[in-house]
Amino acid sequence: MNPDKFLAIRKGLLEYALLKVISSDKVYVADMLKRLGETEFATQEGTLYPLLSRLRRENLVDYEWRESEAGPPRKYYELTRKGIAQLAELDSYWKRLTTTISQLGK
Amino acid sequence: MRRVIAVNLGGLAYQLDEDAYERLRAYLSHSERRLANSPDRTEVLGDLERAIANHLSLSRPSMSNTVVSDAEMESALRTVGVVEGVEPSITAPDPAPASAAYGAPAWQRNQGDSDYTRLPVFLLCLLFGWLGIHRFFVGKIGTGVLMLLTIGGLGIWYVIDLILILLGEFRDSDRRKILRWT
Repeated sequence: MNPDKFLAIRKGLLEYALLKVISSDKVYVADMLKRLGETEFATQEGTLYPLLSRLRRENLVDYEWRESEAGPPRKYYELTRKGIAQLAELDSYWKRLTTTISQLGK
Repeated sequence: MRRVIAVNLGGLAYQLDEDAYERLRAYLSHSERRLANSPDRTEVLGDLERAIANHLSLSRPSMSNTVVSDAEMESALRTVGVVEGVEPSITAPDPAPASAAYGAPAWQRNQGDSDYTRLPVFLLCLLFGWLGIHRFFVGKIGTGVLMLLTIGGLGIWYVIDLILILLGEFRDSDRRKILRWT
């Protein structure tokens, strides 16, 4: 199977997957990369940072600075109230979608 | 003697080898062009710089003052990956797209001058140039054979090579200029 066949689907869902990861805990980018890296949504900083900046501009996530032992300070992200609401909306939308898809096959 | 360039990445000081510096600069200017239309441009560029600094720090645990090599920089940039998410603008065309048709972006290509040095190439050309030996030496096998068969391009071609070597315009098989003397 061509692994890139579903690239567009994964790209579209990356934001949803990322919100999910951030909802679990205060995380910084290396944590997100690790969590996503174990899944189909494996990605890189070059993709995540522009996405995170947009999510922050849309007030869905916020971050705080924390010092690191080696290297520059890190941004720890968490969902805002708006982000939590958006994720709940996405969850129910996703459920509706999967129901629709499975019913179309009947 | 290679030049070493001191840079500030995400608030930390790093010593970069000349090639590593060129690679980093190519990566950052490519990223800047890709983000030209993004309102988050400054923020994302800062994030990328910190990410690169973070990878460099991880690969050198003691924060030693050693110089960052081109290979280390290449590996850090590969880990960070090409910046994505915003289409490049029409007013700032992207001369190095990641598409295969245009070849690899500059920071993934072999950068800088050749690893061959001028003195041996010059001596080989001076002594055995009419046999094309200096071209074999820098990996230009095809034109080397041609030069051998034509006895140094009728005695003219290899003299031109000799002048090019002296001017630092002679290139190796990777099209990199042979600049350093020793």
